[in-house]
Amino acid sequence: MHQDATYRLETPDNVELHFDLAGPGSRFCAICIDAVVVGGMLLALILVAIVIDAALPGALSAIKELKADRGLFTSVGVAVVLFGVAVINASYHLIFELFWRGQTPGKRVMKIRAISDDGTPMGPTQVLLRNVLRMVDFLPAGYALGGVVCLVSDASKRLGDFAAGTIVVKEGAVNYRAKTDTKNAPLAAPALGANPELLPDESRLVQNFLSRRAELLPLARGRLAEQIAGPLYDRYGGNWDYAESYLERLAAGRHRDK
Amino acid sequence: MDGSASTHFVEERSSRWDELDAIVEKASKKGIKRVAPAELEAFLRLYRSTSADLARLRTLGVDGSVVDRVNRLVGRSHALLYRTPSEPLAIGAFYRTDFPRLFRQTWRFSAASVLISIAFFLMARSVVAAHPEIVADLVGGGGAEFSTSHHAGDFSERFQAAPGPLITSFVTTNNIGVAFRAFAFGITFGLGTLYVLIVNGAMLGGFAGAYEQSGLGREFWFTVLPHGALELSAIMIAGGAGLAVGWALWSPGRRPRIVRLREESLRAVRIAAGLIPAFVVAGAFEGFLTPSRAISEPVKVAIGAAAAIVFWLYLTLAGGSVAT
Repeated sequence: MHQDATYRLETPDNVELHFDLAGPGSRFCAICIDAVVVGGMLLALILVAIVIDAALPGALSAIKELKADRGLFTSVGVAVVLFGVAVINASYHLIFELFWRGQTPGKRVMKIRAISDDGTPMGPTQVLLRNVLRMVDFLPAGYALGGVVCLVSDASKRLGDFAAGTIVVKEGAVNYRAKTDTKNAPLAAPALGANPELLPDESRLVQNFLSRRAELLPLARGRLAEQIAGPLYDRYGGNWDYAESYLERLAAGRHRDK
Repeated sequence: MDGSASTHFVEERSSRWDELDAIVEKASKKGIKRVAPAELEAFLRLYRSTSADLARLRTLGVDGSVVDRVNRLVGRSHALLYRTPSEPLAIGAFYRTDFPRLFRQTWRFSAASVLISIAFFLMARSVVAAHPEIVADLVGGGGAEFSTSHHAGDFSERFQAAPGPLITSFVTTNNIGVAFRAFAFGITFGLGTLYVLIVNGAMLGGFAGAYEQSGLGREFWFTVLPHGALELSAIMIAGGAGLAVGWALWSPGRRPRIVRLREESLRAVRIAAGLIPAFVVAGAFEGFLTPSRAISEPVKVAIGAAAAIVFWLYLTLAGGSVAT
């Protein structure tokens, strides 16, 4: 349903920009990675506290006049650790998205980024808002609410994205220059217009499919090939073996060949 | 258009795209301020021509991967060009003018929040006065913490036992959490915010009722008010920010709810964030002023009340008039 969702944006100079939206899956993976990173930080904090406690006996341990059954804390160490936990939990996403321009370690691994839905980097208020609303999206547990909202919303937004006016997009490997696609060279499509029988639209469709099929998952690729080739076969006939082969030969005008 | 013409177009333009790509790459690595003026001019020119190329490419129906890479290039240029000049987190200006103005723009919601809190405070207090046995239900988990303190000495000792810096840091983070929660749940059409305010008011009322019943009302208020005056003010204002968001969802006017949600929550989150220093001060009071044995109790209350009054005066008077 949301496979390959595209967010279309009209810029002030009337250019239509397309962004590939990050789906709920990659966003959830990013969140999981971030949770592991936060867990690691907390663990490190606790270990440091334990080491300090061992190295300097008494530095962090119980305060004398404190009665365990009545006081808030039984030891300064525990209090410092708990305070550190609260601070890390509250500020992890905020700080990273602020200084890594919309990315956290998890988002970086998943190659996704939160940006403002006008295509520009987020401002500080937007970063704050989308992360404050994280606690609502998290409800009742494990980002259930945010996940559902993300699944049903047009641009895969969670509540925080709606409020802050942000979207999460795929970074897309920016190999802008080296797009020669050598791996799939033998599958390269014949030049557009090689089959004069085809209408321009049809020719373009086939061309597009043939040049991009390597990027598709096998199942989607097969299904798409069938969808495109079926009607064309009905119209132009020729020799059918399987959909992709038919399209290759049709594009080159050799669809009647054996 | 046939294949050769579109290929020709791509070949003809790709050197310009490369040129633009080089500038964008440089600008995003070194920062746009380090790019030479001549290059900036070239950037603007190339951005415009490449945008036009993108539109052209889409109508030509050339190879999708070419459209993709030009789209990406224009996207990156666009982000560079229209980036909001990175607000240097202008904290000074925010507190001089923006924050008090924001408060006054939304004062009705803060007032509503205060009234709701007071209503449930009074309700809980009178209920506990009539039926002291329900206090444990009313104050929830907090009851356990207080159940051990049955006389005045215990109650104030609770604050004196733990060291000040710890109390301060804990109470401050906790209160900031409550405030942001009160704001954030505004997105549930205000219902979550109402819940936070009601629980907060009822808990305070429950405690107050219980201590007053046991004849410890004076100790209770002397212990709560030095830090509580400011702290409760700030929590109620944060609740007001949440109510403002909730109200925008109930009654969006002519514009779509989603637009109103954005407007209101971007405004209200700044109020919630602006309250952080108030919580730090209140937390410091709770950690150092409330447990102090050197300062007499009426003086503590006076200091706490003075801080709250200064805070409210600042909110109502500072920052000049609102332009709207």
